[in-house]
Amino acid sequence: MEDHRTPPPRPRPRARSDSLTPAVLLVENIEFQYPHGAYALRIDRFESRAGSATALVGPSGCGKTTLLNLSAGVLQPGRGSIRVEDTDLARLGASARAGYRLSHIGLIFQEFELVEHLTVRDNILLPLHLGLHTGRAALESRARSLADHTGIGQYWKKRPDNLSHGERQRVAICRALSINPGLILADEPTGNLDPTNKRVVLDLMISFAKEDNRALVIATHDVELLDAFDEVVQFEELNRFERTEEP
Amino acid sequence: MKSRCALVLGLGLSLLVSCGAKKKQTRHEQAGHTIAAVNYPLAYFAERLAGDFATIVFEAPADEDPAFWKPTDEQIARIQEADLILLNGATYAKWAATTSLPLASTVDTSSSFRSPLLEVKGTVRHAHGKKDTEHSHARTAFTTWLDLKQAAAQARAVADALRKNWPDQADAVMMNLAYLHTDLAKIDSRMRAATAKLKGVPVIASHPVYQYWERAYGLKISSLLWEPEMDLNQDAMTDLKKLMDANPGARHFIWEGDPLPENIEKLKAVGLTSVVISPCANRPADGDFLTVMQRNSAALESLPN
Amino acid sequence: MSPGGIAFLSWKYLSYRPLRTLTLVAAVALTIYLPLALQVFISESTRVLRERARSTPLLVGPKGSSIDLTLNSLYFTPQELPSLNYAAFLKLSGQHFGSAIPLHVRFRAGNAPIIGTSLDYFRQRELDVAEGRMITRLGDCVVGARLAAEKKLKPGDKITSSPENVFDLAGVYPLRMRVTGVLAPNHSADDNAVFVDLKTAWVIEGLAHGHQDLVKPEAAGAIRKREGDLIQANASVVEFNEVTEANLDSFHFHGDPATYPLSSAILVPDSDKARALALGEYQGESATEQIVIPLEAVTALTETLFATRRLVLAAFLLLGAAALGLAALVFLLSFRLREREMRTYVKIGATDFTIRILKFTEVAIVLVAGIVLSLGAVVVTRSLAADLLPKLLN
Repeated sequence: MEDHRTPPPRPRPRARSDSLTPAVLLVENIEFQYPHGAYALRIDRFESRAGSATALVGPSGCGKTTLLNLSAGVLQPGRGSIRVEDTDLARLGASARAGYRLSHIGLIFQEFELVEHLTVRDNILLPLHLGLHTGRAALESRARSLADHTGIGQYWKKRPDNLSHGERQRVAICRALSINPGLILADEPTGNLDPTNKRVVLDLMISFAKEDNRALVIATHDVELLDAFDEVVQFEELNRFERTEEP
Repeated sequence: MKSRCALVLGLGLSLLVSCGAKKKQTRHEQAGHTIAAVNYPLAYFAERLAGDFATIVFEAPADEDPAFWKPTDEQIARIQEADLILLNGATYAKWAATTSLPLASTVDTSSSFRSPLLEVKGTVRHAHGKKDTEHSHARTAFTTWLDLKQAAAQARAVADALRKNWPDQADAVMMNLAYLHTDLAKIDSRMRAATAKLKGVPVIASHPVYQYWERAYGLKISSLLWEPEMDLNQDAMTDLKKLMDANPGARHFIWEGDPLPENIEKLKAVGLTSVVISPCANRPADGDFLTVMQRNSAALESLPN
Repeated sequence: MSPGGIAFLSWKYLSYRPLRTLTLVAAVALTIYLPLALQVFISESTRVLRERARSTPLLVGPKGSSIDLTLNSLYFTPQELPSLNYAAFLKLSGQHFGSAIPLHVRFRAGNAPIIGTSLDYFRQRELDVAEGRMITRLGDCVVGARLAAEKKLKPGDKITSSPENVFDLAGVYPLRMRVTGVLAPNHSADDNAVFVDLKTAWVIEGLAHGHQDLVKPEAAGAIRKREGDLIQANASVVEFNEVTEANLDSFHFHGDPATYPLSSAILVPDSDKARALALGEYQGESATEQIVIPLEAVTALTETLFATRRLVLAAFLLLGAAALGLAALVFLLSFRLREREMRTYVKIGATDFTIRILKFTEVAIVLVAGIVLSLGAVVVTRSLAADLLPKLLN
């Protein structure tokens, strides 16, 4: 659906991270296998620095989502460490990981994952409703500002079923950014968008990340967008697990 | 300590009881016991028997015959509220037959009569509908108190009702009844002596209200439908003549109330001496029931033999 | 976890599907309400029946079913028993056991029973006139509070008795009665009734009437024959179907009053001794009437109610279990359909415990709403139950 209210594209800021910039996300020597044995990961090292936009590239089903889930603390590795800022998620229990994720990691999904019975406002404030311990007024103000900035402020009290895909993804972006995270993980965020919106949404995420010195990791198989990233990581080169290998 | 508590408790209780008793006494005093009567004789009996502790209500205006008086709805409501309602019985007060009265507080004072009630002769009967048998809407004679023995029985019925309603006044009521019975017996004796001269002689009366008086004293009375103050025109005198022809030897004419002097003269002219025998159904202008009965006796006594 | 946030999310989902939510709430509410309402109705009915019976010390009536007699006299149900005659009532009054209050419960004005009685009835039932005044003469009536509200009756209005059989023109005919007052509410069968003097009931029965004076010239056409002082009227004689000030004097009774019918008589004994004597008098083999202790008759009736209650309660509990089972199924299916939504919450940072609490809160909101609704309905039922029973019995 063509979006008539798309804000003008923002100029792509220059990469600010370099080897001296601290790693917001640092994955080291992790091994992970699903209980049903379908996937396995062995990664020696993966990092994303503050102010950088990293593309994690690979075909569908290669394990990009699994790595993002491990990085978000949704899954726990069998061994190794996953440090987000100063916290090793691999050492935390499920509740602690969830709590950390709620307040420090912004997540964006391919299917947008909006709650249909909540308004745009409540979707963006979802972390607050789920227990984020922060000042409500400040969060709401920040959320409103983000919504206005991304061109969806006018839908503040509307439900998502009236929005286009591009608008829905912008709601998801606002939700991820509303908690002021240090790390943003996005899994195929442009997968369901038309070419125009792909670029707009990607630019939006990257600009937000760089402006506030956040680390942004985007899993994508969309090779046409790779020029926007500071770093492109081929997942198949990252994952050391051999499929014939027994864990 | 325990005994002190018991004392305080006892004092408190007795205070409560005495307050309650005091309140009861006040309520009794302020109770406003009322007795309604349908005619003056019953009101008089009630006054004699219960005048000390009850208010007697008799609403019929002084210039109306209580037998035919029709109370207003408001008057009926007041009568309904009375603690005791004294009915004469014998179809007296037609309004009572079509009025709602509380049965529990209503007394038919003539229900205990040993002698049967009398029918007024010469009224129209009617029937309607093929199935309906002929029946008479003839009136029952209702001036029951003119038979002073019946009056005494009615007074007794009033006393019985008073004792039932107010048992704490029973002794006073019975004492008052005894005095009343004595007074009624005295008048009955005097009336019996006074009417002796009328026995065996036809008597003509202005109104058919003397049936029980007639029976009690062995008289023979024929009645017209005259009022004391009416003009005795040709038709009236013709009716009188017919009655006199049917009752030869009649020498006395009984009026309910004081007739016009010209009426007395007209009757005198045809050989009838007028005498007033007041039924005293309503409150007299002066005196009371007994004085009216005394006056009736005196009027008869003054008749020549 | 934020309790406020969880409650908010739960509420948002439930209000997003209002029909589904209301249906679930209604199912829960009904499951709880029906057995409770049954209990309330039966306990209130029992209380009302017993209270009414307690305030009616003894009933004297024709022989037959004591329960029919009690229901007819206390709740004005249609009369099934033959009549009691007035002579029996006079005999009862004359026995001085206490106050005898006549009851004539045969006729209706529409759906409202017409009760012919005496003024003592109102004192016994502590029925006061709230508006207007008490009946004073033939043709007057006072109406119960609920009947007045329903039919918008007030003092001065008229209400007409219903013919028993529209095809029997020679039978009971309608009498137009003057409403003199409206009674205060009594929360009993009295609230739905029309009260008249016993004599007025006899007028409706056709035992008394008023007509034109046959002596007067204008009634000449109504005379069939005249012999001496006997006038025989024909069918054209005008009979009055309303008692007015003008025609009141023309009303008269026919036949022997001793044979006039009643339904029953309330006996209020003066003392325990009088009560015992009355019971002895009327419970003997030779008695032509029966005497009933209403409290005993009602107790027998309520025992039947209790037996019925157990059966109905069992049925309600089964239905309730089925309804709750269906509700649980709806919730389970709903949660299954919303698994993706829950996964989103988990991905964003909700713990499993939070998700469980969220689900629990949704169920709890529905349950609490259902409970509150049912309890509120029970309270309303309790307040209406006392007034419902007399209507049902009528």
